[in-house]
Amino acid sequence: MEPYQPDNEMLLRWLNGELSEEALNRWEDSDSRRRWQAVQSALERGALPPMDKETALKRLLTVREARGRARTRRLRLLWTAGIAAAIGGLALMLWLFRPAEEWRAPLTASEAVTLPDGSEVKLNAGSYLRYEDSWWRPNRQVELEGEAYFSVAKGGAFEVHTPLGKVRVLGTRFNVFAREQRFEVYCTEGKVLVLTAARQDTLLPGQGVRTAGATTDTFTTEAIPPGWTEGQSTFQSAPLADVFRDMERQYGIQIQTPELPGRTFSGRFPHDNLEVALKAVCGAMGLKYQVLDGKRVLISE
Amino acid sequence: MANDVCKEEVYRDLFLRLVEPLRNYLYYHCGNAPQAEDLAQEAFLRLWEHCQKVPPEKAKAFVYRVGYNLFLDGIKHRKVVLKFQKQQTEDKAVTSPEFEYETKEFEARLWATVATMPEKSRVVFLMNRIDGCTYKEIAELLEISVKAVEKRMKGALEGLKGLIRDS
Repeated sequence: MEPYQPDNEMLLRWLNGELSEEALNRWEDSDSRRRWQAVQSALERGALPPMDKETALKRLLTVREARGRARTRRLRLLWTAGIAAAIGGLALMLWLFRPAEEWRAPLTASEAVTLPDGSEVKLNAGSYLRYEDSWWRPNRQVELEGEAYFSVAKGGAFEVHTPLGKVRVLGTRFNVFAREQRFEVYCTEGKVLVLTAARQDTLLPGQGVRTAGATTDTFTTEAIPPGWTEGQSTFQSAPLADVFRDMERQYGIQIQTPELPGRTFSGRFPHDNLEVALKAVCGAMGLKYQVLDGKRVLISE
Repeated sequence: MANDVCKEEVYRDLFLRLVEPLRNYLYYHCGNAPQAEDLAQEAFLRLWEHCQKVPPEKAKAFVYRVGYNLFLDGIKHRKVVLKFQKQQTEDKAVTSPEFEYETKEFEARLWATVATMPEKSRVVFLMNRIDGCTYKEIAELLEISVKAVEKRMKGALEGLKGLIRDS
């Protein structure tokens, strides 16, 4: 018997389940039908796995917010510049009477903030800064979570509050790091008073104080702005786990590491090239790395 | 109301409903799952930027069109199609092959055929065969006529017929 070969029209109707009973019966024993069925089941096996839509939504909203923020910030700067050129005094008034201000540096980028008194703050990636105007005039006071480099304009006392301690200055430059259990301050110009629950330290340029868990010690460093304000992260005997956490924030990625107890890293990595950054750290520590899909990195011994 | 899409719940709801079929659609174009997901995300970001100009009933076709344009913008085509082929031929267990056309070789040849189909035919064919979209749905999403969908489906079958004959 001549094998029955349906034409395109019929094939399509069959695929869409529209073929009549009679035509179906005619085709029943044909080998080609089984082949078409094999095609269909192979196609189904080739389907992409179901999508995690909730996670995808979170990712979408994060990116959306970061872009929106960049846009409103640019607009605000333009607006401020325009008004300032025309009626500088009025612009200053508007600045002063704005309600509480919040700044959040997105992951992967640092952000520069100018405070109403002219002090400059650079926020490192994934950090949060807040101040309230009503508190601002008499005592210059900001709240910080994360890391920031302050260039404080001369004036009355200026305070940085963090969950781990506070820093009081008159007019100076200094870096504050406050994340999880680690609190670190160092001074690059002027004089800084650091207050934690246990003690208080006065820092001169090149001096720093570091609290990790229950231990606090002082250290010396070069009296220059921290590397991260210039696009790289620098470390001095820092716990290796902290180094990878910082890399996660700078690149907006996830890094899986084995247990790294007691290992420390001294050196630096850039913020604009993940491969170079991974080589710098892993090369120095004798670790292997693998970039899985651009968002995740696997570190192994 | 004209700016409905700008409402957070409307926008989120659209995303949750459309993102997966959109990702699949883009995957049938580019053959690379992470890239398809990125393109789908970018299309939704564009939807947000233009939310005042896009009425909710047009949002579907909008993200499909933008996703496809984004894909065209950034891609060297041939390279991507090859990836499609390669990804599909990786280990897909087929239990106890009884006939030649149930073997891995058959499956590999099938995906090679799919990868070399005319792109527009491939996309329509896979939307219909894998996602179960009707011709009418496909026509609306891609802003083409039902006749055009049928034509593309037949184009896809032409490629597969050779495979059926030779196996």
